[in-house]
Amino acid sequence: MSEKLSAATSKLLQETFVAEAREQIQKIVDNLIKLESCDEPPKQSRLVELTFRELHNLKGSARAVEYTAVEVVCHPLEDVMAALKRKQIKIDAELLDLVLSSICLVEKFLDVEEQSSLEAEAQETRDKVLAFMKKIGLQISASDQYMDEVEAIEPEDLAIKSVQVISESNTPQAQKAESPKPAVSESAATKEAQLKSKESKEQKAKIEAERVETLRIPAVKLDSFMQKAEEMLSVKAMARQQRMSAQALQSKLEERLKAWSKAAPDLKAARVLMEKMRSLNTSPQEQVIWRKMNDILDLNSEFIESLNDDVKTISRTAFDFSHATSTAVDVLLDETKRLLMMPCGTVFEGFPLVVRQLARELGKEVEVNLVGGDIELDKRILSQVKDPLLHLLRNSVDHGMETPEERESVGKARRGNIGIKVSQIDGTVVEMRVFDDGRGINTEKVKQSAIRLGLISSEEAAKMGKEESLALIFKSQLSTSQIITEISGRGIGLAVVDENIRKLGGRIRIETEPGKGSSFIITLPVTIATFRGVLVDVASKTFVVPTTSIDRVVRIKNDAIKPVEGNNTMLLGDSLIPVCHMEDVLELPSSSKRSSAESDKLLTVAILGSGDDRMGFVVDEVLEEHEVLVKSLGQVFTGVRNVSGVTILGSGKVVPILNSSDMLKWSRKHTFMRARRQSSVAKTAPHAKNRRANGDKRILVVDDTLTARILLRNIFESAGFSIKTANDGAEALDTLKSENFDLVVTDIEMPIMNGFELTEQIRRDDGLSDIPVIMVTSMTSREDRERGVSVGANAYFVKSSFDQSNLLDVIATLI
Amino acid sequence: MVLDEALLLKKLRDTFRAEAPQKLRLLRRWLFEACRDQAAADLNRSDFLRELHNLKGISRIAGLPAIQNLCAGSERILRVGAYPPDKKEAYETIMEAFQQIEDLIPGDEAPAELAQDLCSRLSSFAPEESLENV
Repeated sequence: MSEKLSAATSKLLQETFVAEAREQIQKIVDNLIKLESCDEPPKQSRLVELTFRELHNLKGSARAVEYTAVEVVCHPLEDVMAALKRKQIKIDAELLDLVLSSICLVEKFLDVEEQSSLEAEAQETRDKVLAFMKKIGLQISASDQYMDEVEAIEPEDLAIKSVQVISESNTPQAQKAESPKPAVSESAATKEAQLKSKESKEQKAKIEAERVETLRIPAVKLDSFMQKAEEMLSVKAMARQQRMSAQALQSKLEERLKAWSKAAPDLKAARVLMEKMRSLNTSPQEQVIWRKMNDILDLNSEFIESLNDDVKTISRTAFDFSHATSTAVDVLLDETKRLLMMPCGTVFEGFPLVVRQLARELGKEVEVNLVGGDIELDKRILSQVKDPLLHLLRNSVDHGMETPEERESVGKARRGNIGIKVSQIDGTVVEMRVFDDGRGINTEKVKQSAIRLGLISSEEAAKMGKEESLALIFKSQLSTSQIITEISGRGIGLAVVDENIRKLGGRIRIETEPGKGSSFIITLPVTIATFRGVLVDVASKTFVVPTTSIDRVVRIKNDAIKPVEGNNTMLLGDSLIPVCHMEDVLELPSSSKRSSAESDKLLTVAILGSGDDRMGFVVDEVLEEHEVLVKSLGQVFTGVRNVSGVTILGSGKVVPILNSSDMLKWSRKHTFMRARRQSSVAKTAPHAKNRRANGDKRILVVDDTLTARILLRNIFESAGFSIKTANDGAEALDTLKSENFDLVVTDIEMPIMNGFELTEQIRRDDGLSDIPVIMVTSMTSREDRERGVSVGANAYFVKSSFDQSNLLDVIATLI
Repeated sequence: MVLDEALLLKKLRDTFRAEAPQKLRLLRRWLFEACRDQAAADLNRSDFLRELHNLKGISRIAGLPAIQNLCAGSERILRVGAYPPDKKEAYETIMEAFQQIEDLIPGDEAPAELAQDLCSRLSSFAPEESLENV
């Protein structure tokens, strides 16, 4: 980089380069993935052209800012794309894998300012590309080989849709692109060229007219601005409080005036009496007293009327001020929220690559379709919804999509379709549909899994409709997958997806048809609504309960609360729901109001949650609903149970905001749900009665190498399990028949009897068939995993990638 | 009980040092026999490959990448290619790898660089076909 540049300018240039390079890499990745599934030669050529151009520009910019590692890798990649462009080579999966993996590495290089530290890694990647090039008969070019080819591409070919203020016309390349082309000698051609040039100028003028100046503003600054705008809610609340105080004063005064008016006839009579008495033989002294009294009465009357006028004026002003403040704050917040709107497509970046890689790992063929990426949503919602969407896509590839062979056997195309379709329902709600055309969800399997886990009884399952059965999928630990792998199958993911969507004020539901596919439909608000909460009094203290988590508030008689299986419940419509006192959940001292045990005493119950996950919380009083500003508790109080933040009321009072999700979880653990689960487990899984704490749980580790046995023994013993080991499948089978174990962890490749055979034997034996089996092996192929499923393993871990906490988590779900 | 990782690694290396020589002896014997007698080769092929695979696995568990890479290089030649190897040079290079493994077993560290040269030579005998299971 030029030595003339100051350090600050260099830094700025590097930052700009990194931001633009990330966009370029994303375009390269998108194009390559589209290329893989594109069968139309013109489109293919265009995608190759665009990718080539992006790579060339990336390489050039990297050189300018001395990001040498980036340049070193991009150079041979550019050669590969050039060869594709010239049709010297053909597109295939190996080529795409190589270019994609290399370009993903380049993206990581962008995080490192000190590029010299990446020299070895960059060289290694370059060598890989060069080896590939050698294999297909290509040679590395001179670094400026393609300058002319790139510059020959017409700007309109580049499909640049957004224009930035960091003006492209200032760059040397853009200047070259805009400069007039040399005229050709033939007059017809000249005319044609002039015509084209005119059209081109008109086109450019049109683009120029449509150009809207945009600014790059760091997201953190916008977030800070949003926070400051939200602080204005306090001003709105204070104005409201003042208006209410003024109104209260006015009401009080009006009452006094009314009382005064009522007394007016008596006052009149008194005055007449006074006049009469004055005319009687009263002393001058007495007459003065009477006159003074009369004056006082007049003065008082005038004062009250004048005060009433003043209070009315103040009240009116307070009302106007409150109204104006409220409107201004609402407009400010709305406009600020609009600043935070971003196209959905910004979170989809990277999805096609993840899906492609996963599909390849699993031996599946998948095409990714992302529709509606231009629909805008609050960036805070988008950032929170990214992981759930990715999770659903991964689930679709892993569980939903069939293998190409399976698809062909049922008359489907080998390549399946997976995607996300975003559509705007109305001005405030969007729908995100994560779909696949795979095997669909088997609701019977879902119910069976739920019964096995004790979430529902067989009787309940029999009564369940399709929608209700599908909703079970969102229960924690429920999975219909036949086997747990590193990717999925533990049944935790969808419960978290559901929880995260709910936190955003959204909902998720499923549509599925066996053999035709499934859609997970998420509805989300376009922006994060200003937080509204209901003020409740509990044990003489005030709390805020988020409005969105309140299903309803009911008043019931004390004796309507009945004990069922040792826990308090109430009837709400046709449903029996658990009830507890909020003061118990919040661990507050019992209030005096609660001590009354009269059977007909009315209790106020706030019902929190939704659907089956509802619970009643008895409170002293429900006060009113408020729009509140949520203040974080700060680092010191992070993780305080049942409290998510605080708010300051207009009166200045600081009030805790309750975390309804925490409260429901805590209460379920301690009351009704535990009893229900125990009861269901007892009915449906008799062998599970004797489940014990980890210390009493026994695991049989089967591996023919001592080192591996010692590793597993140490991991499991550290987690508190009792361990016994066996050298091979046959020894393990003998041990299992003579002793009780809760779980078997087995290697696959072993002498005498391997892990597949051992698992088959366990599943065939009536006395052992319930024991969960986990395979921990270095065999990574899809066929081995499938064989693991077919012989009845519950989980399959690859030794090279497993981490012990993951393994322990899976064990926790199995025993 | 808390897992003391340093202590566990020491324990794993001690176990590896006790376990690996026996496996290496078996591997040498089986490969030698296989090269002399096709019947022996047919008989011990699966045992040989399993033990070699195991040796690779336990060297990884013990955190000894040089040994792991030497095993992986040898396995790649033999699992996808011929067993015993059809080239004398390949046989000799594998035996050389076994010798280097034996030399590395008593040591506390075996970084990948130690075996880089031999690994490159092993890879020159490996078939082009990719190996999912190796």
